[in-house]
Amino acid sequence: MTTPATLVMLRFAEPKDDVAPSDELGALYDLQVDAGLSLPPVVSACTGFGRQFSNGSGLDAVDVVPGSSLATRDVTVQAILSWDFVGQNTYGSHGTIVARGKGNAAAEYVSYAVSLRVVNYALQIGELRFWWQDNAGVVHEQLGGQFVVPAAGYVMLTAVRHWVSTTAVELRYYVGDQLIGEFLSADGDIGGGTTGTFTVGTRYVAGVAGKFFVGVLDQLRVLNYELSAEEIAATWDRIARLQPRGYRAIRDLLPPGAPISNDPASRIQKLLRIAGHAIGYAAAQVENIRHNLMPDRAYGPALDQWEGCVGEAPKASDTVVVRRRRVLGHLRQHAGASPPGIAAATADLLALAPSQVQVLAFDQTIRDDFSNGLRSELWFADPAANWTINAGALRVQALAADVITFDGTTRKWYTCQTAAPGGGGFPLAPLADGRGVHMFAKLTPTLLPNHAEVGIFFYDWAHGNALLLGLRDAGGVYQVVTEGFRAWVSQGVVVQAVSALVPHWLHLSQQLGGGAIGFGLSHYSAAWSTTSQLAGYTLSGDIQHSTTFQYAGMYCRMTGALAGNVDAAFDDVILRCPFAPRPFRWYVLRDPTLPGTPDLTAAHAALQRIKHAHTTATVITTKSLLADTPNSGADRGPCGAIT
Amino acid sequence: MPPVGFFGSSTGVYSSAGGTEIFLVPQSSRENDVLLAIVVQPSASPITAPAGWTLLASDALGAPISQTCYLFRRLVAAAEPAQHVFAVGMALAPQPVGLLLQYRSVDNTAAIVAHGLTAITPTSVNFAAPSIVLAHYSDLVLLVYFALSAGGLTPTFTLPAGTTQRGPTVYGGGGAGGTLAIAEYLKEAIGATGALQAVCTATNTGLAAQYGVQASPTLLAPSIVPDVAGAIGLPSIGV
Repeated sequence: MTTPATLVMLRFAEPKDDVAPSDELGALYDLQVDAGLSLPPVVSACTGFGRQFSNGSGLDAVDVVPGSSLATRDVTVQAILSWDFVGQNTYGSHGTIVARGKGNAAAEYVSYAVSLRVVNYALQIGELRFWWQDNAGVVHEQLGGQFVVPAAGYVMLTAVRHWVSTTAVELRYYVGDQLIGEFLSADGDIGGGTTGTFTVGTRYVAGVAGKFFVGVLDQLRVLNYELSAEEIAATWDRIARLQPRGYRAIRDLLPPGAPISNDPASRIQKLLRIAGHAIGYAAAQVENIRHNLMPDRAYGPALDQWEGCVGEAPKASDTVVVRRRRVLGHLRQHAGASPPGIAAATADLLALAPSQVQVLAFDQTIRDDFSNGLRSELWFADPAANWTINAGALRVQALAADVITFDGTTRKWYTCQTAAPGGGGFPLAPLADGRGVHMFAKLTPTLLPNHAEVGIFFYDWAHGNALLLGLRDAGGVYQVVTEGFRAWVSQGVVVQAVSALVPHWLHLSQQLGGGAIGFGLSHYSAAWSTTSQLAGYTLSGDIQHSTTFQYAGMYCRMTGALAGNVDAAFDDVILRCPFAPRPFRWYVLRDPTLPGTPDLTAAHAALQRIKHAHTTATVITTKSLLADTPNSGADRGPCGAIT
Repeated sequence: MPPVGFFGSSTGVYSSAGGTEIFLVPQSSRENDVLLAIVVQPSASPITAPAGWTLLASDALGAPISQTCYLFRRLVAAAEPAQHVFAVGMALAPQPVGLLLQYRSVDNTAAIVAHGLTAITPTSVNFAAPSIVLAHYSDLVLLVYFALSAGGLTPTFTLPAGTTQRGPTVYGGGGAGGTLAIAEYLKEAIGATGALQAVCTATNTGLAAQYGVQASPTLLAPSIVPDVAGAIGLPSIGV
């Protein structure tokens, strides 16, 4: 980022015509008059002396250090002047205040220029506008801010250019403290060379001066950064209100009837003005701090400090408004990182309106009634063809000829499983803490032939541990059964009850406590109901099984050759893991179908700064884990399965 | 604060099953911006705009092109929704097409200054938007050009010289819909704008329209009239 600096400051304070105007900062050699042009004479102006420009007059100079007045990106041009509107209209062309470059060669391409235009003479409408040349020398006139030109007096004009990209440039224009125009330009290709000429009061086309400014130029400065509205307003407030009030304050201190002249041009009154304006200047600095210290209006070094305090470093292309918004977003978080604060902090980085930022946070329970289909971000169906959505439920089907054995040694069953909510993600991360896990599901068997079994299960694939609760057909008898596997070895089938081919609500859970039963083991219980989800449950006896598992889900298997096709449906699944860390993981989803070019890396970095230390936050562009897909978040844990 | 400033756009998406035309709010929108939505659809089907939108104009055409061109306006709120859903009717053919334009410095309370629309019969490639009379030097002229697709081909426009296209060219309903292009013209004078003619790639049926939209008032520049020269002017430090 360019260090903010004033490039040129011309006060035109020289008392005589033949004393060359000089740049207060020394960036330019003294301004000269080109052959064929006339020297604008010194006149009394607003802040002191000024120069009276007219048709045929102009000044120019080159940089002492080449490039010191060049600005090909951000730039602000500010001037105090009295525009001779009638004279400009009579002259019949635009009036150039300043142009950096003479335009006739690459080194002289105009990197910035500001001019005045008579828009509507009858209505006294004038316009302040930027223009510049691109790197091919093509002139790009910009839309300008229009204003009613006052009948007399001096105005402070400010033209601000903020370069965003090669296709986006923000332009703002002010008169005094009033914003008179704001535009977005596509002309981000800006030319100019270090050895270009700085011209005042005229511009050159093919080596010929023209577009002369008609009026008095009192002061002119050029800055290499975007001057904020607050800063401009503070300057205008000082010049137009506080300094005159300081002068009045000094006069009010004088005893009534003091034998001094009241003539503003008298020596004593001029001395009083000096003191009064000094007071006004000091008051303006105080007022500026009072108004613009807080981050919602801060600019310049104050905004830099705010950004340093909250750790929100700006991008070079960020506007002052964007930078403030990000700081405010950081400061406004409360009760956790609040959605409005997150939106404020990340919207611009994600190239979204704040209302389009989606903040996703979760509790320790996964619920799915399959009304939104079989969501790939939640469920892994294997084989996919045998798990379908039908009538708002998850349907599993198997043909009589299918071999779907699961006996520990052979593992060809059909499963639809998810990472348990205690786990970080599916299928990469292990279970973090699955204590006290519960799983509910409604099972509706339609076709359940002999040797077929459908149900729910917990699964530790890595260690060969599984715990099953299901309904099976054993020679025409429907049984509720449980079976545990440890290291792929069955611990025995337990027939919990004889039931019927009716809907079953199944509940498998791990109990907390219950006494020590050996390393890595916990107490489990199974329950089932044929009444409803909420009533009529029968509870099994204690089941001792390994503590850890990664997956939970639904299964379909056979215990012998299937006597026919299998058809069953699962619905209203609830999976709750009370010790899961899922609530501490939250996400900002950037919908990739929306327009714009997001800076995902910067947005992710912003989240890391504003998130609470005990949470993990990630910017994602999909709710599904898509490993090795750029920007899926898969490379920044936690991965995937965030529903 | 003329002239008005264009900042962004979004293309309407028609849902045949839902009967809606949905516009996403441009990401650059901020409070007090003005959104203008232009929708062209079969005239038999009225449009119901969501809350907060004001209908500025609706111009219906009879045969040979039974289309209506709607112009709506809305002031962007502090908590602006992410999208706006217009109820346009289900299973329309040809499908509606629309474009949402985001402006600053458009007067949000003024009535439309003038509007004029004409049907284009398939005898010429010239789509001439009829002249309107502007009341203010700063009025914004929006030019709307729409052509129905014919023979599975999607027409495009060459817009009039001196105008600036705003937003992308919108193609609705594949080969069975139409093409919508919108341009902006700043005349900077009161009075008649004259007919402004776009050239279509084919002699399609369509419409051409001009809408005069009023800009915010021009501000009087605050000034200093010094009795005696001498003051601390532009700052080299501080403000």
